[in-house]
Amino acid sequence: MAVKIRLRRMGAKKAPFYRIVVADSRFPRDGRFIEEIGYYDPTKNPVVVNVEDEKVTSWISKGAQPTDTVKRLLKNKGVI
Amino acid sequence: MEITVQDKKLKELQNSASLINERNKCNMLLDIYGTLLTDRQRVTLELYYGEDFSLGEISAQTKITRQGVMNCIHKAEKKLIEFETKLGLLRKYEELISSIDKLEGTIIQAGIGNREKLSKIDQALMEVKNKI
Repeated sequence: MAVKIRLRRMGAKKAPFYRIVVADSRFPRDGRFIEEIGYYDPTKNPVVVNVEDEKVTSWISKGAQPTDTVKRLLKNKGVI
Repeated sequence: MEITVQDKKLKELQNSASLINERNKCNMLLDIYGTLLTDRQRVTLELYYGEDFSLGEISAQTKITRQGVMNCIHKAEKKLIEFETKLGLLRKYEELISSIDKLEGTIIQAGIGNREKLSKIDQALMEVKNKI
């Protein structure tokens, strides 16, 4: 079973806001996810990225794969 | 030696920042012009940019080949950029928001001390922002 850490878009039209979630890659697109581990708000200046570092490292150590975008966000934050 | 490593890191950071910005931009364009795309293009882009699905995952869900998904995304992106160069709705939206922000700043500076009026003006500005 592949577990992924990905961004999920929330927020209103023209006001994007993303949750960083842990989800099964086989979940269809119905909004199910395992755990929310942070958020990313690009509308603020400077951009706000808030993640729970411990949860990220624990999920990655369990084999969860962050998507490229999430990887970049986390790298910028210095979490991984 | 150390400088080059730092340079590399800085470049990497800038690159990743621009890639993420690109993604945000695509999401905004999709919000504005999404209804002009074909259903298949819109759904694919929503999965790709909104849900952060990989090409393989989209292909498994939509039963289009991976190559097909990639083509679909490229075509749809091209369309979005074409709409934006012709209509410029996103650019106008961003310009409006930034001038409202500036206006907000000036009003706050000008009206320090008058809380009641300030909150009313703030409300009015928020309303304008939501209507754009």
